[in-house]
Amino acid sequence: MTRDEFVERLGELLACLPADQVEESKEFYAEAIADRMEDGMSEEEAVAAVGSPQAVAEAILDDLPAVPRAIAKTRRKGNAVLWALAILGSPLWIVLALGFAAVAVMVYISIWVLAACVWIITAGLGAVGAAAFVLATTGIAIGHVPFVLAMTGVGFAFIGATLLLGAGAWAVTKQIARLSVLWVKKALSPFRKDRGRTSGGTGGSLSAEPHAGGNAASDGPAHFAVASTLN
Amino acid sequence: MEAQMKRGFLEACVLAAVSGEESYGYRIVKDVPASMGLTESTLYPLLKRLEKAGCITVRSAEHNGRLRKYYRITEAGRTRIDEFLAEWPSVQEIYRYVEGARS
Repeated sequence: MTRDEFVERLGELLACLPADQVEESKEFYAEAIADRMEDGMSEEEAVAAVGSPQAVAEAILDDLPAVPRAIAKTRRKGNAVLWALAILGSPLWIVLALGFAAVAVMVYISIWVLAACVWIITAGLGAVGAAAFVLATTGIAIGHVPFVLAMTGVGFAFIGATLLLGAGAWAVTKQIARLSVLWVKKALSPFRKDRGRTSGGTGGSLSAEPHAGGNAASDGPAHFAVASTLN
Repeated sequence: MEAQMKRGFLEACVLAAVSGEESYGYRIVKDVPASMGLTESTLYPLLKRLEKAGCITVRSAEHNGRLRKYYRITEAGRTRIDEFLAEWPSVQEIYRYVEGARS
């Protein structure tokens, strides 16, 4: 097989990918073969050393995330097959896709409802505090000193509780924002490639302290090796 | 070699191969230790991944009347090499443990 034949065959096998990606792959392998020939191999040897176009195409497609990979591999058998499958399978995949989307959205909403609850309780406490102060002023109006003192005390107590809980709610909200980002990433992972290691890790940080790390031993030896694949 | 471990090693090897002067595909394949069994079909996705993660930069330059792509490490890539090297003590610890359990 000549270099041109190899590149052309590779282009055919990758036809399911966007044109710029196909072009980039073809250039990369054309360069690899040209460099081997410059290194003293014959064209035939150089092409053989790079591997079969099938194996090369397979390696490129295998690096795609699950959903685009499935689409690409089906499309390779022809667009007609993909459409036939898409239409015949629609009662199944539409329902599954809707279910998947519904669950994803519900989990996202639940996460935020949790945050909203904490804020509502905080607001409730604040309202009680404010009401106590209003009652205290009515006490001033009727000149009942013990009532005024009691109500002012109650007001301060509730406002204090509100501030404390507010600080907690703020912290909780920040954590929840992080959680929801993780969840969105997880939900999109079959469609999107995100292998280039997100710092801080993904799975582990769900339960981890805000400032994990520092502890080299618990970070584990295989961290480098595993991190790049986990995602 | 176990797949995930190998992936980490390969990544570190490729980063090391472009950490001096810039290098190109075939030279990286030749430079990386043969025991890694690096081929173009492994290298290509790996380079793209490293580029996306900002660990290497790519430029095209003319060579013998054709374009060749040259890769060079970035600061982020050097940091990743450092992280890889920092794991050596714990790898050794595991090695000693496994070795010790054998006898």
